Amino acid sequence: MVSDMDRLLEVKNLSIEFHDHDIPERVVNHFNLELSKGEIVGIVGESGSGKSMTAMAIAGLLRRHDMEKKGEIIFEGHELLHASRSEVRKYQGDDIGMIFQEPMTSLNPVKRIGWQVEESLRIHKPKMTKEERYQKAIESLRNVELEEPEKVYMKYPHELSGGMRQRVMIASAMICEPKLLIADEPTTALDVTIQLQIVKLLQRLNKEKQTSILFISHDLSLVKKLCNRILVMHNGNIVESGSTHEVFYHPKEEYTKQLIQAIPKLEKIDL
Amino acid sequence: MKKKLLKQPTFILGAIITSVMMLLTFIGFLYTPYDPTKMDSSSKLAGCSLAHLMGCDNFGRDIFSRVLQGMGNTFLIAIATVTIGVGCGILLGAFTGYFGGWLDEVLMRINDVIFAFPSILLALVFISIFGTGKYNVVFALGIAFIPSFARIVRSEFIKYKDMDYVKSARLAGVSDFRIIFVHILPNTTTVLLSSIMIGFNNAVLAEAGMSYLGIGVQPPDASLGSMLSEAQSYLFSAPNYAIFPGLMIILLVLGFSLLADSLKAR
Amino acid sequence: MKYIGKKLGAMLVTLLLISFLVFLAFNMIPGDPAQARLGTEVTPERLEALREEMGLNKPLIERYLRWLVSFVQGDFGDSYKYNMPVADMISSKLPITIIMALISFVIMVVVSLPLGIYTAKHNGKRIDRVITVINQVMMAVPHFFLGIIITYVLGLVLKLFTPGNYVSYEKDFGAFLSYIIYPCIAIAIPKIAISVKMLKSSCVEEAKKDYVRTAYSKGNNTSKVLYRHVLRNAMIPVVTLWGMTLADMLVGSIVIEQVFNVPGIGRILLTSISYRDYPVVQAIIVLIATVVIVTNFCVDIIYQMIDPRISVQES
Repeated sequence: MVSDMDRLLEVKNLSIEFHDHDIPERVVNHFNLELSKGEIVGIVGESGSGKSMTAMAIAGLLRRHDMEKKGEIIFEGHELLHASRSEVRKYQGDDIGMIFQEPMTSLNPVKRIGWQVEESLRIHKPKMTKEERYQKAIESLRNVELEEPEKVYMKYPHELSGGMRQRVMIASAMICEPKLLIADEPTTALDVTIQLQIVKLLQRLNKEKQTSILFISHDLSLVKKLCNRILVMHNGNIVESGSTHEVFYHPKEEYTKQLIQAIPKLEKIDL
Repeated sequence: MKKKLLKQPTFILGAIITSVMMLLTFIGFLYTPYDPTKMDSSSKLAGCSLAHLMGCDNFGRDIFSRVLQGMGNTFLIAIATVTIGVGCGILLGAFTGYFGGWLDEVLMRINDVIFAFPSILLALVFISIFGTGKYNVVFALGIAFIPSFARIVRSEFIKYKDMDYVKSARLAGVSDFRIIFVHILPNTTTVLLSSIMIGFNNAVLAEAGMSYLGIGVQPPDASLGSMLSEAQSYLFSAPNYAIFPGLMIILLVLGFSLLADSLKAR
Repeated sequence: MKYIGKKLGAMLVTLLLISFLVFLAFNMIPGDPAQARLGTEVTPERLEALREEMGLNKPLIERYLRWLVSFVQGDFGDSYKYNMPVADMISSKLPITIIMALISFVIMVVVSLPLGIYTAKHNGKRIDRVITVINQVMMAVPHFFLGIIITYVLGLVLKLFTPGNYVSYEKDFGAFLSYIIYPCIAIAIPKIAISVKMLKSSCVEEAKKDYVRTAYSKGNNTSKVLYRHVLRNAMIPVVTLWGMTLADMLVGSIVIEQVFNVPGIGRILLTSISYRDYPVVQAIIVLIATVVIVTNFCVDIIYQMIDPRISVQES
């Protein structure tokens, strides 16, 4: 078990139920997770397994009506699931950063990249001067391995490629140096070569900044490259969890075995 | 799909209003309580009563009968206008959208120019050239409406012309003519239907406006617009004279706009 | 800059094309303008002399170019009916119509912007439903009927103004404004309804987009997300609508002038149409078209300022 000192995030008995149809639909069922500082944990599962819902719940991005949420999400000793919106907002973008699946649409099309990268600073560090913010944004853009950050700063999202946009997303999520980065399928919409680059980038940021990462993906080969621990989700339930090595080489559950077998052969050799 | 439409309150309300208005219009074609043009000096500007539901105008004519006749005129003009606009618009939009090329380029440039022009203004140009009157209004508004329909149909055709099912039909040797009218056109009906309704509304409003200005339907023939213009002089003594024709225009337009909205919302 | 140049070029071409089409239309009319001007009891010699003087024997293109050059110089020809320069007839009237359209436009923007945002914020709640119903009805009301209602309720019953008591803007600008505001309200109301509806649905659509989620994930509160992210994106279709609306308002004021007895350009246009006084009609149509096209050009420029994607797509 993780000691209280090292523990960053603890999710206890999280259940999420949609109430927007006649019959309530449970999408996450008694989900438990502990995440310590500097750790990378992967949540794996097919679409509809509830993994993205879990991520959204931890990031505080679930809507407030039409759904019932039970359990606890404790971030550094503060309960967030039932906290007020303004309480949650203090963490969003500051201690908890998030990146999403669709880099093409996750950036505001009518605002310059620099403005969007700096946004968290404007919200959480209002005392910073314009110049300090600019320096910080350039540093952050450089940190995600974007060339000529000064030029990128002045551009609009449509002028960048998908991979570059995802880097921008990471730069803006990382600008306040959050303790937790939630990455919800950050590579799914990208080309295979770029997927690897993004994974390596996350790995590096984790080492340098000691940022914990919650990596949500359906791509097991990527999860294996990046994560220390893995949770396998199916129909809203955790079916298996453990260290990456354990889950990959000694899977206990039939479902996990099937998932591993579904990885294309060529990549399996690479494992 | 149908069940979903029937569950929408906007659709139900629109359907009710439209059916009542249509019913009144068709009754008006066959029967009016009084002769709409018969003057009766004893009942000048009479108020609402059982004998005259909506009262009488300054010549003692029964307003309800004139409203019915006016709705008929408005309805026929709007239908004829939309028919011209949609007919020509479909042909123009279908062929330019499907074939593309320089002809499309030129026609669409001209179309853009005309489109930028408010349609009533365009109609005024035609009226000033061909003269006032019911048929000229139909002609003028009809032509003024072509560009907007051509635009809608063209963009639909551009959307469909490169779809796989059209390509395979072409490979199978189906003629362009058949592809346009049998394979693509039926797919545009939903979009077309709601824009036809909106077009109908615009035609009603434009006709009312032009008749109000005295360049549309000519007296003694009744029109909702020209009744409003006559009623204005007696606004203080007989507000009902203005209110009923105006109300009828509102209901006519409201019914169709609710229907068009619920069709679009699907 | 390249974008602006391109749009400017397109605007000039459109202007030329419109003016040519209108010129063509009025020159295809059967009937002899010289005859129309002199009446039927005239000697063939005088008729021929006037035809020569008016340039009617020249080819169409030459006549168009001549007309265009003098039009640009402010010479719109002579009225058949009043035998006076068209420019003199309309120069004092055109400002009335334009001022009316502009005031209506300002009213529309000032009212519909906050109202649209308000309904978008309260989407699905009761107040939103009430506003939506009012909107639907208002969109169906012809603006001249609204004018009549305003005349009756505000003018005759509440006596806020005296219908028909128009004051020239040259005489007393304040009194002019306090009269003109009523027709402007009548023009603006249906347009307010349309733009509130559009702004609301545009905001609601934008709010579903992924970048909104990103904005929340950075710790923005709802109003910051609305004003800093959603609104500018949501304004893009609304600006297009507003551009077209300004043109509609110009034409709308022609009609509403009759309701409120305002001696603007509409009055002259209508009498000229009924007297077949073509030079006047032609000049007014081309002038209004010019205003419309210049407006569209401005909209294009504003559009590009709001949406950075435009200039890339165009080039």
